[in-house]
Amino acid sequence: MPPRTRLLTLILGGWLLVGGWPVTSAQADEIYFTSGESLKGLVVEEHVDRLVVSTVDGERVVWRRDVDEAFFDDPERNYLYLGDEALEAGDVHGAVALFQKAAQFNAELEEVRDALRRADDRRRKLETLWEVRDPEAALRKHWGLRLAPTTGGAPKIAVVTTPSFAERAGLQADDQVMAIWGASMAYRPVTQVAEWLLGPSGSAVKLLIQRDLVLSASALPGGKWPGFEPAMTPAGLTVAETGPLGAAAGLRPGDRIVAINGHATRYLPLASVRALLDRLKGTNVSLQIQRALFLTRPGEEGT
Amino acid sequence: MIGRLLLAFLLLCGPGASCLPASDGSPVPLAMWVWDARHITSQPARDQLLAFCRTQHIATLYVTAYQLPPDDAALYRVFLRAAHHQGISVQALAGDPRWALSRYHHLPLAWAEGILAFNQAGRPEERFDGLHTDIEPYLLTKAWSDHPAQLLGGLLNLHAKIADRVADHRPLQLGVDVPFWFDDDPAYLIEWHGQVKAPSHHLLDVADSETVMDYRNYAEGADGAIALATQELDYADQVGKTVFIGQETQPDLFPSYITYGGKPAAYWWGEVAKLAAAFRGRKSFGGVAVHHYDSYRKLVG
Repeated sequence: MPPRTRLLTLILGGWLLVGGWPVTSAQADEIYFTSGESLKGLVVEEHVDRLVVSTVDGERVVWRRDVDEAFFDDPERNYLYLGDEALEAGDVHGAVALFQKAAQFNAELEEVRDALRRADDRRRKLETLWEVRDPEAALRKHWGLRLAPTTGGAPKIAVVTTPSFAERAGLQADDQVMAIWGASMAYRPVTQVAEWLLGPSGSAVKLLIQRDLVLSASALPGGKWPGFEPAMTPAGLTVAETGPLGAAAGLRPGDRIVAINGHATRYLPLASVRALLDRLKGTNVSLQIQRALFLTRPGEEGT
Repeated sequence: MIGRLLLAFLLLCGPGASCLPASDGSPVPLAMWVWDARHITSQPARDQLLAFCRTQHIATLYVTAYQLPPDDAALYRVFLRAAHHQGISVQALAGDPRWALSRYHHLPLAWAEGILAFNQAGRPEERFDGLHTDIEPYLLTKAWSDHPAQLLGGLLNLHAKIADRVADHRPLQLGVDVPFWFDDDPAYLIEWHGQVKAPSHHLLDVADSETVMDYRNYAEGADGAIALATQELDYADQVGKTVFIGQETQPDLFPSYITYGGKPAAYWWGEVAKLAAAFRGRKSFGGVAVHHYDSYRKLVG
């Protein structure tokens, strides 16, 4: 699951002191370890092998192998978590039942919709007995791209051939594949990521890619700075609309800005973002963005 | 007899009507799950829910109430006042399959204590009328497959603990969601407190009511909703407890026969009429529980 930004303002506001109701529970996620210890905080990233928990003492990485259970303060997230565990264990029907429970709480939540689609994607592959012997080779052949592992997490697109399905889909070299149908691809073997990308011809797949862009006032002299309207949404800092300068940098409405000049935006209030952009006016600003792409998988003739 | 009742109902109400059949002229008592807390915390949604309850004769609501921030708690009080003014009973709904694990019982117990504290802090009309659990430990498919007795034992122990707390706060009620098959499959008979019974019967011993997830989109027949819920009502009659018959209305579920989603409203009302006719004479019959608000609105809207 991609990073979460919900309720982070509560952390900034000293959420552990928020009492009231229920009087016995702080509003927080809680991780229970097999050691018997527990950790309160906000789970902001969920990966195949680890969770990232934001605590009053900063972010902490916890390893899934050490986790007995994670309980979230939102009921739907408990069912998403359990559904993901079932899906990773190969129990597609169990995962669907759990994701459907999550949908009862909030069917409009993007994470819920993605979870149902990724379970459906897995079910479809199982039902059609879809499999590929060498996923990385198949990805090169049918998508025209090669993935490379990174030390920092999600795999990077090393090469996009021209012409190719990947190129037409808007993928570029150096893009990172962060998530597929909402499931984090970080810390997974490249072969596994290739497997997730591939699927029956004509089936849909949703990628979340991460890309580095440069916002430069000199790219379009006279263009209105910063060339986009930022907005804070439940998903995080988002591009609400773009002007000529933003478009020239490659920004699109809906892009999520995860870092500005290397500083993570996860904990930045919108006012601070605006102030930061004002301070950076006239300079070259590096933006790290995440963008969702909905693709229809190519067939044998996909290249 | 049932056919005549159904015909009379259809003639009286017709497709799209918002009444429910009853052999004695009174509407069938209806309960309904409300999972999405935004129906409570948003004023327009809250008003819409209450209006829907009025037109659909909903007498009981199971409303998500878990880990509410203080601001939401105030909105819940507003809702509870309005619902009670309208004669609706409201139970605080929560659950997680892992609550059946003994090592996590402190979480549901904290939830129960939180509801009790919420009630104590509010005026009588602002209080929940009951606690309602939806735990479904079998959703932990691997654990359920490996050691169901451990999960069932944990489920029973937990409800005994919650019931102890509820006993000190009467007239607060304790309601439990159970699947119909808890007492149909002898494999799930379990010894607890020295007695071997179906889990749903043990639960009826400690709780005030059960809502049987009796998910079939037809009332009659050997595998129909009436047949599948009969044992629960038999046992509840014996022990003086209440059973609600849960019926599913979400669309696009598999297998399709578990839900009325996608069926015409008139068909739904017809099958509910059959359920009501079959169970109305039972002292344990509490009514039909509709799962759930979002999908039911579409079904009968």
